[in-house]
Amino acid sequence: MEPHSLYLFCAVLALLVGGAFCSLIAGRAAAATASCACVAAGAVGLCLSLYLLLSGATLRVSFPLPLPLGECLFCVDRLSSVFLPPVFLLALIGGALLPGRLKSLAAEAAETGARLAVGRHCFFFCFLIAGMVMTLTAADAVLFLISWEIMSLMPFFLISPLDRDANERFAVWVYLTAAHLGVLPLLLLFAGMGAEAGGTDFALFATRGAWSHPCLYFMLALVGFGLKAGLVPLHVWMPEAHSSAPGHVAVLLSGAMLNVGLYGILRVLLLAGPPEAWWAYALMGAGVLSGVTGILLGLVQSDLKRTLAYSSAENMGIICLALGGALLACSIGSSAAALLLAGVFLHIWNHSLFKSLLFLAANAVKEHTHTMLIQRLGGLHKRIPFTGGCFALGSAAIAGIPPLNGFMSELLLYTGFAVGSKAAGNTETVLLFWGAFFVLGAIAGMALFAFTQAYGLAFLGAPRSAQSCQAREPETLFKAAMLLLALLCLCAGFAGPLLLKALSPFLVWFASGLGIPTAVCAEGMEAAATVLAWYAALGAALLALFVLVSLARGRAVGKNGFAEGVTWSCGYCRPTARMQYTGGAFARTFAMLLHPLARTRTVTPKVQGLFPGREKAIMTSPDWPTELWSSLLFRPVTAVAEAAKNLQTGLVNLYILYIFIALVAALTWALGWA
Amino acid sequence: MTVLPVAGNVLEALLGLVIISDFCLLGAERSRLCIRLVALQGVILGFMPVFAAGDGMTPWLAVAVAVFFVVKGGMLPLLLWHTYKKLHPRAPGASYLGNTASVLLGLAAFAFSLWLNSRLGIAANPLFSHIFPTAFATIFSGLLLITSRRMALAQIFGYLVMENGIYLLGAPMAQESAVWLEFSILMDILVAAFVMGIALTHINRAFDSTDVECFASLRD
Repeated sequence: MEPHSLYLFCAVLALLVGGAFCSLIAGRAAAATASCACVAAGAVGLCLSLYLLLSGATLRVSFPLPLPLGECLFCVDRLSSVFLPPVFLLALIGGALLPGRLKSLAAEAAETGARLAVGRHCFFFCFLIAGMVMTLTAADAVLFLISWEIMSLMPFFLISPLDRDANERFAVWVYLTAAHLGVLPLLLLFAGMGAEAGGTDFALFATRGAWSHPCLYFMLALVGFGLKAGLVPLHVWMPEAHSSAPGHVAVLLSGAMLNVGLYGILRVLLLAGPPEAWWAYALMGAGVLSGVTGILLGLVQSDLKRTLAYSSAENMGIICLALGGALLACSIGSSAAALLLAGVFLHIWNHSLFKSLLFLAANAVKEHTHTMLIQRLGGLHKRIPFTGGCFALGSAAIAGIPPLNGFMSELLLYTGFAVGSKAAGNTETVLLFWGAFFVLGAIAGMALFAFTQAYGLAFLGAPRSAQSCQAREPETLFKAAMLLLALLCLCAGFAGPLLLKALSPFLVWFASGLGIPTAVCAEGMEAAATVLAWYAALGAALLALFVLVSLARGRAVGKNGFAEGVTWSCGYCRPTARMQYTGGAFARTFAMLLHPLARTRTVTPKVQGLFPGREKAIMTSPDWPTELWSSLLFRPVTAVAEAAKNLQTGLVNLYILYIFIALVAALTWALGWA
Repeated sequence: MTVLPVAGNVLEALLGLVIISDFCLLGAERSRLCIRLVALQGVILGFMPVFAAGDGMTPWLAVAVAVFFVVKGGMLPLLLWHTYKKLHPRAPGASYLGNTASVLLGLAAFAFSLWLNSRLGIAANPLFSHIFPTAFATIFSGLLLITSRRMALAQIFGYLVMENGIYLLGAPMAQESAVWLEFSILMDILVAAFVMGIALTHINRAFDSTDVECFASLRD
């Protein structure tokens, strides 16, 4: 460990925390101060984390801060250094966009008469990034929980800076409730592990050979961290929070904070000792549920940002499925484990890139149209071609279209499942691997459908409302941020072999932590490198073909000219925007086929008489996991709380009577039956 | 520590008087009578450490007893009397339960205290077993008064009676340290009675009532 790395890590933390406090007192310069701090911390942190990842060095730093329990100990090991680059990259982008976003929010606040506390917003923004960095680097259970709390609490203040309406307020409260409920299993997890290990240092946990309740710890981790990662049915906070948050916050929430949840699961997998067989099944089950339900619910949404949020649940599901597959392959000693792990980590990076790009593009649309409802958008690509292009590229990447980065990681997963099925000794394992293969294929197919819908209906065709006509391109810096992410999505697709080479030492280290021999791992790496090399070559050929076709089209158009007409006229004499496909109509077939998971409700009016009046058919797609939680947990708790309110009558006499009854009951119990 | 035979009989009689005054307080409706009963209880309790301490009496304990006597038997009832006179209209201390039910509940509380005493087993200090049922019944009577009375002044009686019960419970341990503890509680109660008296006068002036049901409208 070199001292300069240590100083740089301290500088990153100092920049973020210092930036937060300075922005509180900076007055009008608050946004600029926080922006500078975030950009500087992001740039330094990105370089440092990439350096640590490539060099394989471990950074360990202890601060002499008096914590009530545990120690203020940070450690950037290989696992942390894989998760840190997306956080720092998005901190850099979010920080750079912060002044512009706040200016736009301030203009909206001035129009609506709302109040925007810029200093406080910047303070919480800096602390959100600091919380994520601290969580990813904490090497002590108590410090980890403190960092986790900081990270979890900050979005509560950031999601709705203008407090626009009841929906936003609901989103904020749902987020806060979910965040707090999610901490409970983690508290139990670390309390249990700490009590058993006789300390709270992660190094102590790692050196302990066998735990008395490893399965319990795994389940607690899956629930606690799965909630943060947005796995269905624990995703309840995600659609609300992601769709309400302003652009610079949504980028961090979707591209970085979800990863922290995955980091927690992976960290516990390393700490909890050799994985048991059923952990793989549990992870695969959670992955299938999250992947399929997530994309189906995304498909039937009418709000563009909600579709993106559900697609995050889908991607987290894919990662979970692949991780389960890796554990399964690990149990049979197959090299597929290395392939799947490589796919998992590359997909984590890729998801951060394309999801941030999509959220930025969606926010650019929302800024001037003030709506995210697909049935109110349409024809945006003509008005905002740059944003439209970025959204199209992001959609293609997330839908797994070559040569972009989405399919690069998914291809590794397909290969991993296929290799795993070959190595499997018994029929059940073969079926599991092939099942995972086909489920992944189905999820990818539905994702393609969902993003064709999202892009096609919102950006193509004719505008469905006046709001859609108001769309304008964002400011230059915003465009630069989208361009950077789009280029990264494109380049990552071709740079698969390079990325794999950079990740290789980490993957060998991680696989050995799960009990995979180095030789088996190397075999898997070799296979992965071959697959990625082929993918890059195929991608290059596809790109060349695309360029050639575009050039040929350009020439043809230049020679023959072109006629302008209404989009999708489909043989109608006088087509209008209302004749276009709506989101509901587009997704109806899928929704009907997979009704048990999509649960779409349609209210069709009865048309009577020869000249019926105007009627409306309404198709709604409620989030059934949320409704399930609501009926199983929240409504009973609310009913009990409402009943408990009756105890508060305001009469002093009654309050004393409660004490009286409690005293008599306690005495009777203590002396009569104890 | 042992109790002298003569002192033991007097102690029994005094404990009986405390219990009777508890029942009278529960059954009483007029505030004037209640104040007198609280004063009587204070006087009886003021004597209690003398009998409880027996041959362990020290000059400091005697001074403390004198202070108890003055405060419990004199100052607190006078304070209440002063507050009572300022209240307009002079509301009777009506009970939610009715007088008969209050007394019956007091009896039940006494029976419960006796049962508790039987369950406690043999205490290290035999005087404790003597005093315990009365002390607990007094605490319960105080709680009953607070719970069942409609007027705020009657609730102050309840607090004082409850404190009397706590004091009585500590009487068997009438050594200097315990007395100082009691003394500090007594001072707290004195200040509390002052504050409650002043607050009550102001509430009465502002709202023309000291009915606690009306206070419920002030809750959030």
